[in-house]
Amino acid sequence: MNVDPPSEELTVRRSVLSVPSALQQTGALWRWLEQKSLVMPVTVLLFGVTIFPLIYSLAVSLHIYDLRHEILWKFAGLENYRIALFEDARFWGSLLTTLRIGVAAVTIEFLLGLGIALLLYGPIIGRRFFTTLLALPVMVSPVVSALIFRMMLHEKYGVINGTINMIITQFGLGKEFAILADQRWAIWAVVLTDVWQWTPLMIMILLAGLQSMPLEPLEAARVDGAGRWQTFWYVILPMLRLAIFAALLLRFIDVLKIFDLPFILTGGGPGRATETISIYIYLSGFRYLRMGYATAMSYLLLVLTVVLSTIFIRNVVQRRSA
Amino acid sequence: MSRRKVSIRLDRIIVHIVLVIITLAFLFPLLWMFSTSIKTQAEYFTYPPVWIPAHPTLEHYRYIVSTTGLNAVRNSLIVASVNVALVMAVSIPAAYAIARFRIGGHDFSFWVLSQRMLAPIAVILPLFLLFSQLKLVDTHPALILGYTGFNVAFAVWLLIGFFEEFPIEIEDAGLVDGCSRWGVLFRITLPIVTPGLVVTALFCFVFAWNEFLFALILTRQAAATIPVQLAAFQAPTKILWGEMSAFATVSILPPLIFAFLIQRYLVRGLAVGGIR
Repeated sequence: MNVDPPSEELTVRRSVLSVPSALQQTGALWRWLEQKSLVMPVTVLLFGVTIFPLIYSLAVSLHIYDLRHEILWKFAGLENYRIALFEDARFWGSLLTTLRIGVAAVTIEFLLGLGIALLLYGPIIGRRFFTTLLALPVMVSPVVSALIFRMMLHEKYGVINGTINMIITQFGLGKEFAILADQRWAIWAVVLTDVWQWTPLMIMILLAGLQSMPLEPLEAARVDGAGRWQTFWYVILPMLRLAIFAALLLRFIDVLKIFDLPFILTGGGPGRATETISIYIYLSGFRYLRMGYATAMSYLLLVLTVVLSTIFIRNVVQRRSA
Repeated sequence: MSRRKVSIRLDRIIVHIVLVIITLAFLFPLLWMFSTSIKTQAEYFTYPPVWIPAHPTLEHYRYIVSTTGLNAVRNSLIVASVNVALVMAVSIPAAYAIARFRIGGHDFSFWVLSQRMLAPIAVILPLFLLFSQLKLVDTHPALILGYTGFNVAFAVWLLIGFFEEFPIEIEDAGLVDGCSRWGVLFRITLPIVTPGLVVTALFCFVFAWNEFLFALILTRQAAATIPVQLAAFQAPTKILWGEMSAFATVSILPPLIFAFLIQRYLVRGLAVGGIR
């Protein structure tokens, strides 16, 4: 880079800049084109891989599109949506299961995450070492975590389920149980695995929130003789509000879409005890081959996530970037 | 605050001990998987469980190499690296334009971000129909293209932050020298924000490496990636825990190594990565 530009060039540029009207407008047009060219590739790509497919999918959802009976593009209007909303108990059941997993998992992740983030916030020797190790579950594929927990929760040889059964028989606490095969308990296996994998993300977001807090209010609270609990409740928590809101909403939006974890861990079973909405849509589309119906349900799921995402963007991202 | 005086009072020691216990608890499943991968079958199908194998064996790793393992690793490597290259190529200029000119206002950047929030199942249904018609199913391009939507949203948002930290004065000097915007970006800005680019690329790589739903639907056998082949172990008829653990252990090595390489940026990347 030339720090001291030759004076000749500088005068040329000056003269260009001082010319009003036509020439300046071409300059503005050129700059405009240049700026647009920077975002062109991303726009085209996203149009190709998500926008166009979603429009296509909206069209499919208005038709009977059955690959098994080879009935394609038979117009049905809103029939698919009507069936999902008013006749299909399985649709509502899977939605309810998803929400139950979401509420349970996100609540536990939040409480654990906040506690651990607070522990890490103090004067900790080797904080980066701890945070790196704690972040590892997030880096692992959900397929891997589901397979590990499937192993550990095996009714007989699993280290977790097996140990619990050992305690149960040792102290005569009742019948041995198999968490993955139990209608009532299987959902907690999904929650447990999700908690293991995603609590670290909570820790990271909340720790980042804690570290960006100004220190003065904490100082003031200490000077005023506030106890630990008071400082936490009246100083830290209010300042952390945005980070908490962001973390909770993000995780909840994520869990609404959960597929791989329950799919591998329990396959949606036993029965339909852990069948999430994404699993049901997957089965409708790729096992029962009713693409029209599957796309209609996926649009209902989209509406739900878009509403929540808009709340997130309005309240978190906009406020943060403002 | 007493943050600077590292007091060695009793409660600090207790906090450290608690942290060590928590960290070990979170690492336990990964350690258990590794330990299973070097156990003989007799040691993992036993009750009570064996914690540390008496006769560590590599037979499961050999099994993986001799079956589907190598092909899956090859597929995952191709898909993830080409996807990262494509994602970076389109995300860098876009993130730069948003950081410098707020191009398209909030609407454009939020539109990009919202791609991350889409339910994958809703995107994959039409993508599958379209890719089938294009005869792309079970090929690398299908997955490479499929992963761009999510990764671009993530990359753009992470990169905006890195570009905003870059001092604008240095760029202005370049512009006065007669560089074009693209010239400034490539010759001045990018060489300096390289660490940010590497961090972004690694996170995108991990996402493509780990993804399952798209891979399950868009591949059969030839282009099947690691998560798809791993999932095949969950078939109820065979319980190949050792083989499965060995394969899983190999598959998590790249993400874990990356986590240590980018320690300094981990919190930042994950906080943005959560936005999906």
